[in-house]
Amino acid sequence: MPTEILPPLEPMDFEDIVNRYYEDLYRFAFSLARNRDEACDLTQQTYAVYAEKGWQVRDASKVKSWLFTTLYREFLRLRERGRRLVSMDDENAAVPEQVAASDTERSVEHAELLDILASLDDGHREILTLFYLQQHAYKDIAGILEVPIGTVMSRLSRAKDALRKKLDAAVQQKGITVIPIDSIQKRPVQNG
Amino acid sequence: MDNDHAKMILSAYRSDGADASDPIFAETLAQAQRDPELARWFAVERALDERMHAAVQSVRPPANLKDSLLLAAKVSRMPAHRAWWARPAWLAAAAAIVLFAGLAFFALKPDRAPMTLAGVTSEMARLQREDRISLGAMISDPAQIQRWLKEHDGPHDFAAPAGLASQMRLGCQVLDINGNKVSLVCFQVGGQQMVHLLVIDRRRLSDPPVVGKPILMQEGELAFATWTEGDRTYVIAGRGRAESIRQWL
Repeated sequence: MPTEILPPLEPMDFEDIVNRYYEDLYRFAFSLARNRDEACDLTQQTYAVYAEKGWQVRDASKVKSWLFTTLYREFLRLRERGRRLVSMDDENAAVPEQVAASDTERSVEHAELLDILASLDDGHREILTLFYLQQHAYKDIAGILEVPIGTVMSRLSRAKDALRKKLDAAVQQKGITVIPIDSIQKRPVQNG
Repeated sequence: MDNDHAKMILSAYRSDGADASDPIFAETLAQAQRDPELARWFAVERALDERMHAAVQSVRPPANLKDSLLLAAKVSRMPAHRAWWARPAWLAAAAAIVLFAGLAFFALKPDRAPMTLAGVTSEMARLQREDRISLGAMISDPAQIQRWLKEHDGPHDFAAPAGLASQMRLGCQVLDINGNKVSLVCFQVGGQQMVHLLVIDRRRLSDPPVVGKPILMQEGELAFATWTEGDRTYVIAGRGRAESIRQWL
């Protein structure tokens, strides 16, 4: 019976690449999709493409960038085809389902920061997530997003401005007044 | 360099110091050491970067994602170092020959040959034994799987049996058996165990099972359950004893 003949498997190589990168790929996917299921699918699809075409990556040091570029392209492809199942109205969409932190206060802060990150425009969110993963130099980010290096720097700078504004707004909404560190240091200590 | 320009460059400097040796940052880092206002801005910037890094790192993938990726690798093409005969140019040439031969074959053979149930199960056993099952799409969402199967001309309008419906899907494929399109959906059923659901157009089988009467079969270490519902014949294939496959019906 005619069926496709495939090359032999090399699970050890693949396993190593999964171990090294799948968590950060998922984080990037989650930031793009803002949806856990779609983030899983994007990560799986990225490794599926790698399984089929990864042999083209001759330089092992390029594998990481190749995977992130592939995931980003896959996301854009799905978005362009209108196949995203993300509901932007989903109130849980921006909240990470699994925040790993030992102390509750820190978890709350992480959730709030991620919430604000998720509320940014796509272009700002994408570049900030890649930057904050700390896995890629600005040159690699340029390659992944397929933009000039100069654009990465200016977009990153604007994205951080947008993030700061949102953080300030969130702080003010809570009724907390931010006091400059300098003024605290100058204030006399009151005992009793 | 004015401070605005320096700030733009320093915005791209990673807080863990990974970019310390990059010459593009050398001048601006030196400037930050000389200029107290820029130094203060940079310290605040790095503190925010640290907080955001920690927040992004706090996102954890679902516990079963890694298993799914590794499991899926077993049913995917791997990036092996290809021999000369497996490189694209040779593959393209080989594909052209196969395509020509295929066209000639179909020109002489007007119709698809009907399948037998035993033919389907033995083909599935062969694919499983030789690790030759490849998923065309790694997607877990049932609606997306349905769409993908439809786009690839496989039977798509079906519902997974109750026992499998709640299990995680790893992906899907459309097999070509004797010119007949057969849909395959791969399920992860706990740990690193897989079960495959095949969906066949009942009319393409010469001996479909009777409606409403599932049949259990054993072929080597592979167990099968098969039944017919409406226009579709279903086959579940998984490793283990035939009795154990019953739980997925």
